[in-house]
Amino acid sequence: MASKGVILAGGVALIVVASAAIFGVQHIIGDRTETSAGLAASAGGPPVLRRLTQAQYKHVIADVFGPDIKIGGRFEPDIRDGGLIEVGAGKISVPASGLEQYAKMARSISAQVFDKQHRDSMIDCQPASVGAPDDKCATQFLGQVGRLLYRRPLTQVELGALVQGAGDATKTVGNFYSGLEIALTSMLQSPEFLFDWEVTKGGAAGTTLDGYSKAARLSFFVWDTAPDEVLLTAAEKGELDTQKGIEKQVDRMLSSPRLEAGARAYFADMLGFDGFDNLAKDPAIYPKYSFGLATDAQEQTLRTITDHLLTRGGDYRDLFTTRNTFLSRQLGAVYGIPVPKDAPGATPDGWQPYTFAAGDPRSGILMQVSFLALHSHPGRTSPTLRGKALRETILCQKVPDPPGNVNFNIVQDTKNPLYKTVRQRLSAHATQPTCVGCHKMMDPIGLALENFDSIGTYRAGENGTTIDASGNIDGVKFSDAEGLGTAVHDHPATTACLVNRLYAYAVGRAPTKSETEWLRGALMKDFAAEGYRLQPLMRQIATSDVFFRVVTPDTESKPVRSAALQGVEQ
Amino acid sequence: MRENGAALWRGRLKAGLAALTLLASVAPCATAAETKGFVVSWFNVAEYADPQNRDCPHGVNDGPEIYYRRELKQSGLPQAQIDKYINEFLDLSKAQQTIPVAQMRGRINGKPADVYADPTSMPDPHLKLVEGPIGYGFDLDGKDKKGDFTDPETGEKGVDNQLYRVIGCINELKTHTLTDRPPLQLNYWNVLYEQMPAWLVEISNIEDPQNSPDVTVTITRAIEAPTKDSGGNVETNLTFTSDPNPRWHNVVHGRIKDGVLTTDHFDMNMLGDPFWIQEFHFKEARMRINIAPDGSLKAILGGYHPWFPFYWQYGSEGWGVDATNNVDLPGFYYALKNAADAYPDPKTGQNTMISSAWLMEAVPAFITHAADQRAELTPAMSSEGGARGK
Repeated sequence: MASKGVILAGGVALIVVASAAIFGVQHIIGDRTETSAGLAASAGGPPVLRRLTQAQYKHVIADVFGPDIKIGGRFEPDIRDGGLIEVGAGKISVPASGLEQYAKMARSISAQVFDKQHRDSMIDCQPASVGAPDDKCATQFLGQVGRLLYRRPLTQVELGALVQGAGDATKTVGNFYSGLEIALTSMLQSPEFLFDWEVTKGGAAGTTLDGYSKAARLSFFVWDTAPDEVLLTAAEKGELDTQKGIEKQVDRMLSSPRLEAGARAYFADMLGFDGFDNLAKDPAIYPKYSFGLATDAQEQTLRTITDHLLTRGGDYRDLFTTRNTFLSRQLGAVYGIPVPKDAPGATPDGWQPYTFAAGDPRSGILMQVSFLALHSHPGRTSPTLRGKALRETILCQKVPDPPGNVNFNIVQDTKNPLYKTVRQRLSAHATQPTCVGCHKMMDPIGLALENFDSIGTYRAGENGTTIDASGNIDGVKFSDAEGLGTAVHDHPATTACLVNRLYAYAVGRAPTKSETEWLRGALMKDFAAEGYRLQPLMRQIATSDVFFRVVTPDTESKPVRSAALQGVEQ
Repeated sequence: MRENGAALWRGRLKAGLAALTLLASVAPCATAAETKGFVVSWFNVAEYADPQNRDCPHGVNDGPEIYYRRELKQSGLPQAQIDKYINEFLDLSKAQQTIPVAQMRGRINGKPADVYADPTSMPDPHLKLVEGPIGYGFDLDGKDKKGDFTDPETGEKGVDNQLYRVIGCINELKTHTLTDRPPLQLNYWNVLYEQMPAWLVEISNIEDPQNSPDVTVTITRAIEAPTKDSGGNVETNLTFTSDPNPRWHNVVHGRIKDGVLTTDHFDMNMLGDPFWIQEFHFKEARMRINIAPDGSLKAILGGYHPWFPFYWQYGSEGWGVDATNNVDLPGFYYALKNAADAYPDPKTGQNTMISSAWLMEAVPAFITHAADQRAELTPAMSSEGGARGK
């Protein structure tokens, strides 16, 4: 049956793409890439083939079919590379088990799209007869939806196969909508939907992404979802091949409310919030920790960030010192703060703005539950993990993994009367020559956060001993967590890290050497000149001529896998 | 050991809350006197499980197999039918079929009658009552009568706690050690607790936790239900909104002496739950409150309360309690009625209320008032909390 053929074709294609992803995307991209001349070989980087992240998949489905469409099934785990899931997405395939899950989700979504509740609002046309194929109506629906799902118009061959499949299925099942449902299911399993293919083309100025690939790169960067109709139309008309056209679209996208979703996606990725999926705390020690608290903790930080960077247009560095945040009732129980439901600014979902008073030991996102809990052990804090996380996440600096034969007995024994505080235990531990080097990079940072336990509750002492929260980072000394926040605010790697990582996120790969030079030079200057504000930085990236430049396998300079790290180490 | 930072609240009142405009009005309160807020985590009859076993010297009351057999015989059922009934009752697959027999074991004018709806349709089976000398509570009537209890904590004599006398020898309703919970009440509590609006306790004008001559205790109902944490305990330091309904707003003056707060007498009204006690209405109530170093509250509340709701709490469930929880419901009814010791009905002379003492436990909470948007204070605790801020 043709309908099965469509589905099978989609599945086979997905496996082919999965294999291609394993063996290297360049083989596929290369086949679709036009050779170009004129661009300097050092400019730009290779195109990527990215699997949609879980968040992107959900965003696209909500955008195309509405937010009330439920997505059932389990996603294949995302992987993190170079500090970002978005970069890992370019190095990931779909195994057989994952394919089954995508198929299951596709069936579930299609069934909802064509149920009685949604069908009429989804389809603009009426079939001549519900019991018979209607190629015209099917073409209209599948063409419209396919354009949004594939992020480009369907080719005649693609559309023809889908329409024929829908028609054959209609004849078999006896229902036009059931036929369309099967065709939509096949589209949702297609690699054209599940993977963001970047297609290149040559031009006078060199090789660059084609218009639709530019649109997708822009959209996933700024909105974390597929291009909308306006952006696709701009691509179709060739407007994205001009600087003016790109700027027009970028400005439109940056002024859209969808920007918040894009910013949240980036910072959730950068801060490693997927780690909460596997985070556990000992309930006997930290009974307040729960799935609800973990969810609220992430939400607090993302609200803090988007409020500061987008609503207020604030300086990125101030995220590490700001006293403005948002609280939920459950977070209030951890912070020891009342959260009246009718407080000014409170929203119906229970969130309300809050400002920590001057003198309060808490300020900045490093002193929020999300950072403190995510980088602690289940039953105790870890200055080492916190210090490592800060170096790698905020400063883009690599800390080597510990050797395999480390004796952790001293640091794990929190009741040892000889070492009452973590500082004392780590000092004893760090006398081991193989440990001391790395611990010097991490512990003086993390110890400043020792006033906050494994879930972020404030504490003045440990085992009856007052906590000494002093420390230093790269030669800058401080006496407490607030001082650490100020040091991070002032650290040159803080802003350089954001620039590098945001660019890597935008292009889905580590910056190449030539790109890194641009990031460290011109872009950093512009970022500083703009007061380290996020939106101007995103605009600079999205409208730069580097952003869409492509170096094909034949001509590219090798991508610098750790450029994000090398570029900013101080 | 969990280290609780909630202790930092006092400093926060001056600092953090001041940032909230709506709360700014309370900042002046935080001068010398302090207010502490709590959410109730346990409330039930204060029972004393006597380590010397003086409470129930004749053992606990019989189980259903025994009292069904006895009471069905009393109702005139032939022995063969009784044996058949008991056999079916003990067979889990058939037990449900026996409900009508148990339920209709009363007799009115010789005809079967529902003993749960009308316990007097059956003669008083005379449940075993608590006989020991020790019982929590207060001397409510000012008389040290024969049989009155002595409070194990204060040594106060003449303690009136007839409710404990009634339930203290019923296996599923009694505590079996000094620290455990009575099984049936614990089940009720666990089922209802997170669905029922929380009860709140505020203690204000605390000048000194050890000695304050003039404090105010306010017991109200919250709009929100309490929640339990990952350890299964009531979550601390959550924010609750006090229900502005004046019916459930109880205020009483008290004093703290040597760390123990005692209140004046007051009438206390509180909404319960249809599956528990629907409404509590205490007369001549009084409280003794201790606040532990970890910030939790433990109190004994004594007072008179209408006795019938205590029967109907279980009587309305009928066979489920009668057959599976060792509570011979008609006997329970008679015991409560006979033990009632105050507020006689002017027409019949039957006492309408029973003396009682209740154990209340609570954990620190933030309490805000819906009516005036006023934030009250809360917990002080933790040996290592220290002063918040710098």
